Amino acid sequence: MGAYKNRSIRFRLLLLIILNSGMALALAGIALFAYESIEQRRVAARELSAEAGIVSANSTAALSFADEKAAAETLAALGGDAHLVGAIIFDRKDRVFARYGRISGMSPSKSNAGEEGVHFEDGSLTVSQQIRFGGERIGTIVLRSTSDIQARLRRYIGILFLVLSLSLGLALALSSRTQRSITNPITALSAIARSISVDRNYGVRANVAAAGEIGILIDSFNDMLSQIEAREESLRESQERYALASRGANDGLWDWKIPANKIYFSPRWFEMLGSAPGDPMAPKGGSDPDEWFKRIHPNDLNRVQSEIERHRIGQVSELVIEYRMRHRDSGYIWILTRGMAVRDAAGVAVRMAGSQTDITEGKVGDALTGLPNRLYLVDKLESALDEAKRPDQTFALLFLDLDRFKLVNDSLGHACGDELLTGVAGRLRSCVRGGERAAGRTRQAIVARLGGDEFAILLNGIHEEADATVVAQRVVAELEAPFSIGGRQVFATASIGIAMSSTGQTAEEILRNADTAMYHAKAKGKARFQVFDEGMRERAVARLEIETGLRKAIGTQLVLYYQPEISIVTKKVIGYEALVRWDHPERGILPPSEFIPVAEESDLIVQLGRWVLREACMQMARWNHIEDLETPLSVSVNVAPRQLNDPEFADDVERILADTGLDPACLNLEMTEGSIMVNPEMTLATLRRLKQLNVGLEIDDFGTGYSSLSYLQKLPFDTVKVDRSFVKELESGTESVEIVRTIVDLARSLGMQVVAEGVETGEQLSKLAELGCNFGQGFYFSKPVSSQTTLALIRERSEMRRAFGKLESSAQETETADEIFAPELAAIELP
Amino acid sequence: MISRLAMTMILMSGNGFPAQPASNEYDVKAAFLVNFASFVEWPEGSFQKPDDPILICVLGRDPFGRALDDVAAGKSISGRPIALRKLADPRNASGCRILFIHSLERKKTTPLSRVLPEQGVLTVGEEDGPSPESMIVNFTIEKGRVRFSVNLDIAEREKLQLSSRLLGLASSVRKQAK
Repeated sequence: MGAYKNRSIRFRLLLLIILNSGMALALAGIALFAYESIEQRRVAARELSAEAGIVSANSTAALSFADEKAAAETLAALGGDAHLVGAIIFDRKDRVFARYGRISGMSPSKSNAGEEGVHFEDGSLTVSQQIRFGGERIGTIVLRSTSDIQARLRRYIGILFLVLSLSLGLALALSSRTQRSITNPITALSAIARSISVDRNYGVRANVAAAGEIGILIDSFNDMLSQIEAREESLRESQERYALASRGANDGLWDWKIPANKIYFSPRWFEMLGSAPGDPMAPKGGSDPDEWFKRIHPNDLNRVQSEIERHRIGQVSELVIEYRMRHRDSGYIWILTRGMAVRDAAGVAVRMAGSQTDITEGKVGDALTGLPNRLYLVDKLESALDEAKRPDQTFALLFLDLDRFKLVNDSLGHACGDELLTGVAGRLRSCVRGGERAAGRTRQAIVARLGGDEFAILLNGIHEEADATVVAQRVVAELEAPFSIGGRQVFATASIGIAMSSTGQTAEEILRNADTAMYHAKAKGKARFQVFDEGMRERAVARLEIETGLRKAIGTQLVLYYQPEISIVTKKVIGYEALVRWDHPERGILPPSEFIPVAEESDLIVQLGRWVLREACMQMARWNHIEDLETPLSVSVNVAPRQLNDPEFADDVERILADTGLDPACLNLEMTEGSIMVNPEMTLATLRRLKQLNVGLEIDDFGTGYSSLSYLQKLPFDTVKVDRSFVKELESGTESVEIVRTIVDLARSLGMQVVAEGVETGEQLSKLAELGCNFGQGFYFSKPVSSQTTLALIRERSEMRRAFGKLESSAQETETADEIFAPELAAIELP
Repeated sequence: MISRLAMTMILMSGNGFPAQPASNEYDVKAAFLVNFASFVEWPEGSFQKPDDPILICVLGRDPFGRALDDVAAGKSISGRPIALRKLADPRNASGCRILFIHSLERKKTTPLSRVLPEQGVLTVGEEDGPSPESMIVNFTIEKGRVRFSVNLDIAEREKLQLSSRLLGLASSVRKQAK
């Protein structure tokens, strides 16, 4: 059966046809033979019976007269029948009467001679027939013939066999032809399939013409081949691409058979880690995974292993991880490992393979300046911290932040900013080299760029703060000279924070300390340095506390104070500047300087500013509504740079005005030059929208910024607020007088009004009046007071005016500012 | 009286069908005598009715004993039974269809045909009997076996038709050439 199964389909079909038609023909043959055999016997019996009848009739007389001779003669006449074996006539007493031929062993009893009948026996036919005469049995005739039935049947079988064989042959020939139309395409197809599986050449196609299902089979086969070919091609391409790419990228490859826990590492994988090409690297059957893990930096090992595990169990779709590995010669290098697991049907990872790339250069280097980056510095800081446990291996970290770098970037463009950074990097490098030479001893110093305009210098072997400040001084001095960028002279000073190795346990801690010190240096002014001390940390902590506290305080603990703005000409209060105070539950009323800088470092300032704006608008709208004022009072609100640069700011203002019902003309928004210069294009659009709302716009702290006055005319401002530093010096210096005069003249020519803030004396006031300043604000008139006090003052003046009528009001105009504001000064609440 | 006695004696000794020469001669002849009836056609008017018996007569001495009775008993030929009669005088042979004359009755039968009252009688004699030439059938003994010869001329005269099969068995057939 097995042999049959292995035979070709053609053989099997042929066998089937032979079996089927052979069976049918054999059955037909047997039926024909059986019929013929029966018929032959019947005919033979009839013939012999007829013969017996004739003999019987002819022997009646002989029997009647016992003439045996005559009977024998009658029987002899049977000699013409060649098949006759013999004949016997028995008399009425069943005794042999006459005999012919070779008939023997026949007795009446044995052959049943007394009865009539036909018997076939051993190829002979025996017929017994009674001889009757005159209605009386007078004897029996028995004839026996070698029935030629056997021979005839043999002949018949021969012919039958011949015919059947011919039919079978014909059937075979015909079916062979028809089956070939079926098997030929299949045979051809299977031959092609075999040749494809041997040669792996998926380019061949089955060129077999066939219709019906086989045609469909062939077409599908060809389609399948096309798909396999396309897939094969794309697989080959992708393999080549990968091989090329990994060779080009100098990647090491690894392939982890997870059940066996063996990893194949490519030679390049080992070379990357410093193994010489001749070293025995990859043992047969793969390496132990420990070859990999034992080289991983102890701090990274857990992370790498858990990341591999996460990918193995399918939590992440791809293994991508950067970490450090020990190089045989040069310490740790940064490695990027990518990997992908192959999973079985149950989703269990059975294999994981991927690449390993040395990313040390990109990882620890800064592409712009060529300096090491933060990662590298942290790495070195960690090493230095390890070594700093010995007393002679202490170090110092200098944290540098360029002053007003953002301004350069924004005004001159990023390309110039980048150029400046590169220039600064170069000078820092030269500082350190110079330092080494000057010190005359080997001291390892690393200059790194931390990002943006931040740099750091790690000074190894520094024991005294003084040694570090020497370097800091040299850096400050080095940066004093301007940089020539894009044909311009650009100044780039830096604020420097210094932290000694003793101030922290970790790299991040040291960095943060140096950063904190840098902030302090910057707060003291530009181009300075500051050494970190514990007090700074405390202040930093305090600042953090302020930030968290402030987050909760907005809307609950913040309150508004108001400082009036006085018309210098009419001596009347025209409005108030809203100033925010924090009613701290433990520390009492805090001035803005305590918390606004903290808020400005985060987005808190936007939230805070929005609250101030809403609160101020709401209060002023209420006051203007409930008090029957001669002219509505205006309120000035400060807008922080982040607020102004919030794209939704104008929408906020519009919504708040609508919500509070304050007349937009009663709102003045104050902003500094600096905040406008952050993003001039967008700010201009915002200002124009605000102007359309009919909101008053005011430049705050005018004169302190460094932007050109000409820019002012492009902006839709109504008012310029002269910085208090100029007002303060009005009495002493002529320079300030000239500055204020210029500002006033310029404002007037641009159709703007001028407010002077920080007016503290009558002299300052008269000088301002002389210069043509429109409005004044300051302690000379009133300190900022609470909203309750403000409301009380507004009411008081309102009642006074109603009580004294017109007469009083004309008298008021002649009053001095002192007289008007005396009651208010008395009521000032101290912060 | 003597013939009757002899006949009885013969019959006493007879046993079965005389097919073999060893058998009693007259047993065989008795069977032959009856069987002749099957091969003879009598002229028309020989029988009044279809079932009239065929009368077989023995003239004079009866050599058969009981043999003839045994053969004839229960036998019928073409629907006719067999009847037997003994005669002393041929003139009394009226109605006989077969007449057997024993060889010892020679003197009584001369000339028999003239004596017989009617035509159509098959006369059967014995070769050593009275004028065998005047009998239609004559029993003979050849090699110890009973045979018979036929005289067709007399049969024609007597208007008897003899079956060819009978003639085929006769040891000799006399017939005058015409």
